[in-house]
Amino acid sequence: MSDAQTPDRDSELDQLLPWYVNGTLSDDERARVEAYLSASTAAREEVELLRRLREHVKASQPSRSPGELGLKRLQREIAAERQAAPASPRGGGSPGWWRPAAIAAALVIAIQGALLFEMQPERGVGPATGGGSGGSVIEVTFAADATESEIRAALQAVDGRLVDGPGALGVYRVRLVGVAPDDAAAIRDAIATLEALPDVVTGANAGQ
Amino acid sequence: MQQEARELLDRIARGDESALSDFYRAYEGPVYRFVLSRLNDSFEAADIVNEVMMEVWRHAARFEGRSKVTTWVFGIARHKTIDRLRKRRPDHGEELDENLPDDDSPDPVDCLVAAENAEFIQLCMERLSEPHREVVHLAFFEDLPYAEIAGIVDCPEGTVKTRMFHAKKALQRCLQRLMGDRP
Repeated sequence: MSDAQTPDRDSELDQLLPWYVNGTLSDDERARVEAYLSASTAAREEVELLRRLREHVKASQPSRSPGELGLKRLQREIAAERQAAPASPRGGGSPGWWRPAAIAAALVIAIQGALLFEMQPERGVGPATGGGSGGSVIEVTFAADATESEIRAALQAVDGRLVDGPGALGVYRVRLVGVAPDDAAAIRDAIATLEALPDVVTGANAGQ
Repeated sequence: MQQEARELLDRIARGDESALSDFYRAYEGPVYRFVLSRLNDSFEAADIVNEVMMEVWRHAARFEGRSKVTTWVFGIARHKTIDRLRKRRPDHGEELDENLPDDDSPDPVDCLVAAENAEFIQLCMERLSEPHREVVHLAFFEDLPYAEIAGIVDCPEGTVKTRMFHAKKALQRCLQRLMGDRP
């Protein structure tokens, strides 16, 4: 059978060609498509085009996915959700969750945050470890070639808000929402998270 | 992989946060790329990945195992993406004229030559409609069978094939035009 004998393309088989190219057809479908290809030059050219398109789609590199930063953000939201609704929604939960001590600690943080909110001015222009509205403030410098998207992701990973800067040396002040100024462990954790991103963050510290 | 993913969902449903971390690491990349293929906005795509994973965390128990985990999680991502597109453009719809005849037949040789040029392909891919880009992405990046794509985009298998067919024609026409514009 030649192209001359089959001037009309087989539309049903034509529609299977992309899945022939990605290798997901059933054995029967693949056999039918291969028979079609052996008889149609146009179909073979189309398969070649589809292969190139697929190679291109595979090779094209979209911007980096959120990765570990996104996971930190997710864990933070889950923790916040747990704090907001401490009763286990899962009928028991896993060991280690909803421990009374953790709930007590969360309450202490919340009370301290509320007190700081009352006591501090809106913008954190005092000592870097002082609060802004409800959070500790740290100092951060970003890589010169960091994109806005990367900076945004880094801030989201620590639930941080830019409150001031850049200063003369390019230092920004970042408020850690919900982290009390005396919660050294949480501040260290946030700084470690930021320092784990050397392509984005060139320095992070608790300030003076 | 599917069995492993189902076991992860079982553990997530019981409140195991480490299982969610494993699930996240397995699926955040594919979900992000899928959402980005439609939204073309890395900020919003990252937000949607977060929303999808929160949904998985809250509702893992709803996964009944009737579909593949990939189909389920991509389906969640797709619904959230469409919601976001509707907010962006209130008149956004999924309407595509699937039955438009392709009365012109691009020269396959011209298209093959143009397809050597990665910039041409990229440009033409960006010009595809969102639903067309979505199907091309699922077929050529994720290498999914058409039946699974139909489950994700919630339409009949025939529609997936037709959508892919029209996407391919649109790409061919675009590549041929670019070849014609070249000095």
